[in-house]
Amino acid sequence: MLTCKQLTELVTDYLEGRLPLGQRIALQMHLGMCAHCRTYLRQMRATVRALGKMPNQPPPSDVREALMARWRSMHPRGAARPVAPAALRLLAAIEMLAGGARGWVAAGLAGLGAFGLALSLGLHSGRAGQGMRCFAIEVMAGVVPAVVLGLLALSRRSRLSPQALLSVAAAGGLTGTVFLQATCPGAHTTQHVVVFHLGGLLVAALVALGTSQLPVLR
Amino acid sequence: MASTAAARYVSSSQPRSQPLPPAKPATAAPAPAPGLEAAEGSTPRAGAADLALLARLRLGDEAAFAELIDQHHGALLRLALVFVANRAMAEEVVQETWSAVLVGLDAFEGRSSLKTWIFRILTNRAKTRAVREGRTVSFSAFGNADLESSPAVAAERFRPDGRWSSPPEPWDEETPERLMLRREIVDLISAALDDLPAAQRAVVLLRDVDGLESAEVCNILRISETNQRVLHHRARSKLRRTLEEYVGAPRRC
Repeated sequence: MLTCKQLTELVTDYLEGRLPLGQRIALQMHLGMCAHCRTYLRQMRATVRALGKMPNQPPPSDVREALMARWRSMHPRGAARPVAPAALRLLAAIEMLAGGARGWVAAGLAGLGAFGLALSLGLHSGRAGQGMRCFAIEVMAGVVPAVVLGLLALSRRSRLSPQALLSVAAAGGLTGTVFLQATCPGAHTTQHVVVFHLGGLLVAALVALGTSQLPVLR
Repeated sequence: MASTAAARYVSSSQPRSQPLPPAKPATAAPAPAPGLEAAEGSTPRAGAADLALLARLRLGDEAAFAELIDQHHGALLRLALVFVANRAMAEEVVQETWSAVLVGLDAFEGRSSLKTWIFRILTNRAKTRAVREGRTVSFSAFGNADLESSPAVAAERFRPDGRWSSPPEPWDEETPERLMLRREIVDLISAALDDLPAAQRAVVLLRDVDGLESAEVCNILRISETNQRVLHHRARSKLRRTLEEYVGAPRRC
């Protein structure tokens, strides 16, 4: 039986979600019966919240000014932006888009774009049906394992890094590619491979990235 | 929820515009479901804002750097003070840190969050400085009498069978939070933080004041997970005691 005294030593681990199941249940049962320990737990929570509200002291203005001057000397005005290479800008844009709920928007837009591109190119080459089939299989092969991994992480309340989901998506997509080698009639034309297969992979990766940015997984 | 994520770092000296309805204060804010409370006080932070900020910094956006300084300067100074002897030295260490950030930003690989990276630079510099000054900060939670002599709650407050003999008096649910609006309680907590042993102070500052994850804190301070837990627990327990002494004392007006 857990005593009040023991509870006060377990409370941090409890609040951190680190107690093994047995101890967690014992602690919750104790809380259910002991008003004093409920009070203690509430006080502990209040303490933590109060700490989180400690005001943040801004830097003194002279220090701030000196640092900003240093920044300006390293990033001359007017030179910085044009000099930034296109690739870096693209990376920055992706990084920015990949954050938070915007990840989904980015993934959706990219998916739509790729779909449209694939469709138009596919229609041109007169093999739309075949192309879309490959595209769909690539996307599914990437997205399904990523979503499964996401759900798994969600059910275990652990967090996922974008890299984990991305690599799962990529692995799935590549498996799809290998599988399709046997069945895809268009696999021998570069255009088909780039548009439908690589396009599908890219979309799957973006969806995985978007998934990893879901608030519930963070 | 409002008190967790981004709000953590926004200076909270301004009073909340819409106070929570007093009816259900505790349950309204955190608590998704029983057993899920673990998230409280340990919300991850990096993510969107961090990545966007990094992107802007790399593009040479001056405002982004200003944002970075405003966001972290105070926290860095507090952490530096854990290691070095005085404020002047701590300020020097923070400035050194910003210089290193300026130089290293382009090479930053994003393997940790931007914040972790910056705090890690600071810790390295501060430790180096402390060693040069002949100070050492022990991050060991074990091997001393401290464990026995500092339980979370004084042993006298329990009966021999481990039950409360002098139980905690309930605080008004939101007391510390409401009191945070008053200068004195901020000062009280600041003083209590200063009184903590260095290692405990470093951990509780990073975890609860700055809102970093335990893994990040272990990375920044180069301590083990177990060590981090013990230090964190002792620090939090001690801070609760300080608040209890103040809040529990007869109200003066």
